[in-house]
Amino acid sequence: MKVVWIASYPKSGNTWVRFLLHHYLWGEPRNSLELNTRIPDLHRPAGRIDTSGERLFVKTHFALTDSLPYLAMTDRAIVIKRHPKDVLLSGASYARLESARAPDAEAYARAFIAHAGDPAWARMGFGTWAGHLESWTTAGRFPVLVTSYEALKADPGAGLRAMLEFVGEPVDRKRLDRAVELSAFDRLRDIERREKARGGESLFRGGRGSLARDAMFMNRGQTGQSLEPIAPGLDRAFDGAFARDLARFGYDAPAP
Amino acid sequence: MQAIQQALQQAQLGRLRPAIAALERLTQKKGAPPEAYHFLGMLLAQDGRPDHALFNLERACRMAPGRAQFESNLAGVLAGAGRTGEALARFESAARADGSYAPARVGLGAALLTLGRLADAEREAREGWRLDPANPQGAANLASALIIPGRAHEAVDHLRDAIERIGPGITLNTLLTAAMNYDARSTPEQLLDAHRTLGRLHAGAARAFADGLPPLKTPDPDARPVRLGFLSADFRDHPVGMFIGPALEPGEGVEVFCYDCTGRRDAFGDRLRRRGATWRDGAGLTDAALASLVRTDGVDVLVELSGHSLGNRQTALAARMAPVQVSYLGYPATTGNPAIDARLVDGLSDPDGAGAWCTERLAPLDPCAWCFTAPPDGPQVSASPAGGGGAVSFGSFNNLSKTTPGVLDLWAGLLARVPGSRLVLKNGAFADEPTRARIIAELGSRAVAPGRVDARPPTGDGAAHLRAYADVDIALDTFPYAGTTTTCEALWMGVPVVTLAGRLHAGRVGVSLLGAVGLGELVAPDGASYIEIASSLAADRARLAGLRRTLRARMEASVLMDGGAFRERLHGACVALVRENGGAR
Repeated sequence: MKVVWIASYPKSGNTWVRFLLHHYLWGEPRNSLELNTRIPDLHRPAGRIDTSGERLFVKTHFALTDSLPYLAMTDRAIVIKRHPKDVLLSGASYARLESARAPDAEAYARAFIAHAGDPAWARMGFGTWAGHLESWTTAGRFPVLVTSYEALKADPGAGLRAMLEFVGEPVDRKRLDRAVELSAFDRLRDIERREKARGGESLFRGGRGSLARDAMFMNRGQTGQSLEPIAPGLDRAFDGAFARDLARFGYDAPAP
Repeated sequence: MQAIQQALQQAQLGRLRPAIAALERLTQKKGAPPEAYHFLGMLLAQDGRPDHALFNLERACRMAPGRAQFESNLAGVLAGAGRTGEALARFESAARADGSYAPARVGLGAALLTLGRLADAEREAREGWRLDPANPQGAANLASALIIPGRAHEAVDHLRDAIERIGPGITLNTLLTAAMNYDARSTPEQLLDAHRTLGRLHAGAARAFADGLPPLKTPDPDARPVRLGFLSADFRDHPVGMFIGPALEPGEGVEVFCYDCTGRRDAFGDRLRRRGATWRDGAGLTDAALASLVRTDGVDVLVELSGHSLGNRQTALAARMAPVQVSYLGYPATTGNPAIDARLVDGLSDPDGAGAWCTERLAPLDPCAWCFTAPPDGPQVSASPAGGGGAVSFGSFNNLSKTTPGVLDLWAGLLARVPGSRLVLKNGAFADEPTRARIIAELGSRAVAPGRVDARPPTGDGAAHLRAYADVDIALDTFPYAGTTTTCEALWMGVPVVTLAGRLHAGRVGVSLLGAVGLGELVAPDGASYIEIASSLAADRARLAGLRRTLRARMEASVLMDGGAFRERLHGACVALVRENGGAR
């Protein structure tokens, strides 16, 4: 069995990409857990991973190091990057929803800026935003396709096509369109709502804890946001801290 | 086909040999159908002739390729003969032929378990259980696939559901008690109740043959030596074999008989056989035959060393093989078997009040109920990895089944407390990469980065296993099911062990072992203290270095490695039980 990683820093669209791939390769899952069986999440170990096939897609947020599980079985990796400001905002929202003890948005943002990423994620082995990307894109151990959340959002069909071609899957236009349609944000939010209403196990239950019932794992998926609504001056602090890394990883560096 | 039906009916009536003869005659005729070879193979397997069985089953498969039943039954016989790899291929072939043929999926799950492919085994076990929710073996496979990688809590829930659906039985209830021993949610009352239920199941099974056994001989310790028997399926390179050795030597006024149900001999077992006992082969004997053998030998007190572990003979014990029956060493809890009279423990493993959670009386072997025999080819103690002032490495080489979520929580807390520290884990389950990945991810979700975890698959031999302690400064015990062999091995390699004292025997073995070598201060009463003790030790490099230098000698001079004293204590306790029993049975 060969592993194809779907690697990203958290809150960068990993679950969306898994749905896109699942919808194309296997059709619509009966529920979100079926997605987790076919394209397992390394951080949500279910023990129901199907390792019988020749290829297994696995989601991870870990930075690429020698300690990464399955490393010797790795074939290639699809790496998703997202603008760190949008990651920060999504992370702040997620942290607040997952834990009542989470810091408020401003404290979260300042910690994210100071540590070049969520410090809790760093402790979990995800690294900083730039460190994570660097680990996956410069190691040269196996082929890597880098895709950006922003490009996927602008043209999910083109993004999915590139991923399928990267893993050697023949591309069928109808199936591709259908997969994109089924993976639309509103549809995924509907699945999440249905599963929450029904109760029981769900991919959308959050990390080690549980999301509040009314909280949504599938957030709004926005791009190009600003930190100013949280606190004045945050955008400038962010831009100062991330300017070099943004330029390194293909994002427009903020104006000085 | 009529001739086949008649032969199968004969077999069902217990006339196995005539049924086999009838099918052999049929297969000698020209144009015999593949079913004849298939059923002949099955009956030959039942008759204990696997080679002949395989010949006929393979022929049936060649004659009728793609028959899931034929392939699956051939696989079953291969598995029974220990040819697991071939069995796996045949089960896979059967499952390909008919994906809904439940016996093939159940067999596939069992074969994958045997091969240690735990994640695959769980997948197949779930499928087998889904296809046939009335099959206890299917339920058992899934339970095992959950217990081995440290998910006993899930196994307990699954088994309760399965027993509710199928009804109680020795296989499932044995697994339930096993899983409950690992599950931190289990209360002493629940454990006692579950073991009592299991004991009743064995007693019920024993009623089928107990009346036909030869009478028990009345002990007379004043007139003749006490005949002490040991019963085990683990007289081999196994923890039981490593701890029981000295007790197998005859003592003053004590003859020793060993009933070996191991089934496969190894060099370790051969060394045990040279300790002077009289050996009897119990492997392959039915419960009635085994009980008859022990009774005929006139054993006065029989020490069973399996409890409810694999290869146990609790049903034969339930029929009472000896006037006094004792449980020791191989199982960390009460047997629940009303025919077991006593358990050998000590005052630290089972302090005052512990008897309330056992069906047996507790017979103390104070000061310590264990005696560790060091391996003859054991390596020297190496330097401590933190000795040069580097990061401290914590480690646990315990079975992964003991590494439950609560254990991971505490270890993650400890790693958070000691910046830069590492965790070295090593066990057989890590040969399965998905299982290894799961633990790394589980620790990752507890804020332990993968770079701080060294999760190692098993090493080839015992010496290499012990040498791996060169990478560990402080060993961390598990709970609520503590280590025994692992703890002793760590100490013998100069590595101090921090343990968390539980309420019951399973969680208190480390208390006794550490007490025996004078390291009682490494016993934590609760999780916070466990972290405090381990982190303080990590900070005290001088103390760590001193322990590294002196622990082996300290252990060798302690009660924990005094084989002669241990033999006297164990034999003395057993003789006392015979005398107290007074030959009244």
